[in-house]
Amino acid sequence: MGKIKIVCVLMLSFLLAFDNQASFSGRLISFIVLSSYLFILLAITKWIAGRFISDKILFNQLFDKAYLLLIPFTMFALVGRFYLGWDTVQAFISTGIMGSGGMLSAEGVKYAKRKKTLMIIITTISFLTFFGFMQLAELLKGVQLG
Amino acid sequence: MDEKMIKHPKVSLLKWMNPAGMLEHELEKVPWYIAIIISGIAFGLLFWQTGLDQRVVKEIGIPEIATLAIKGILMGTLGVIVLSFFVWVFIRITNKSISLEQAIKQMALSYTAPMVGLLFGLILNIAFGSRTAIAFGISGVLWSLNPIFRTIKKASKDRIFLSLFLTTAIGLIVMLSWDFLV
Repeated sequence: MGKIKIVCVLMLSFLLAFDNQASFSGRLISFIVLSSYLFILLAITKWIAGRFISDKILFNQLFDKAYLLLIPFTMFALVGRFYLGWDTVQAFISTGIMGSGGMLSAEGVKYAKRKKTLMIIITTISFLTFFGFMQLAELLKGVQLG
Repeated sequence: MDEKMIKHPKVSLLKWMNPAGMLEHELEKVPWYIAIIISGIAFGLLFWQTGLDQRVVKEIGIPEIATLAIKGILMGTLGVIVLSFFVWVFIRITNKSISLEQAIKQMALSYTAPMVGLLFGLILNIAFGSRTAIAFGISGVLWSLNPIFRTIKKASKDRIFLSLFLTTAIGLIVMLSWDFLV
């Protein structure tokens, strides 16, 4: 399951980098920075959310299952961008990240001790993750080597 | 969530934070044919706003916009019934107790949040001329896939890959239909 999540993160970062840049080097830099950012933020989400559930094996399963929700949104982003020609990759990314976070909090509250705190924290981190991702993509616009 | 919990002050706060979710909860008891009106309105509003947005780039009159809105209503009613039937057939593999009426109702009620968002979008579109079909419409329809996924997962007794497959299929059908019809 973890591998699917990695593929989705790489694919979504690639799509945004591809859309935002014109040069090969710009796309490459954006792709590396955006995918690294997403991996770091997902690791932070996992670390923080993991502190609310004592059973680590159960939590890892919940986390992996929740972020499987990135699959449909990655598929929509690919079809939207390359088949329908839509310029709406950001909408798919934001909904995918927020949806996965929502799924993690919905499943996590069944086992967490501080349910409301967990819900608020995961929603906030998910929001900050996609908001930061979009801001980073804007900052990287026009970046290229040489 | 029971009646006592809804009246609790902390839940009242959640009610204000998530009015669509609470509306969805309140509508749980309505029959399927009333629920289908909600998805009909949601898609009708989406197609109407698509028509309004198209005025910026091409000549489009009131009859064309009305035709688009009618197409939306048909997609939100007949289209959602067809999609629900498709989902119901797959869910029956793992859960024989779910009825077609329940499947239609749950699917149609998933469009409650987009309907609320699209109503705000329509106000912004008419009052300020903002282009809202993508910001409120497509984003809203994408959001509806989260409750659809959770509903399918619950109905299919936690079959995660079946839920992912059906959610992906529904999303793609809705996206391609919208693109084809407008």
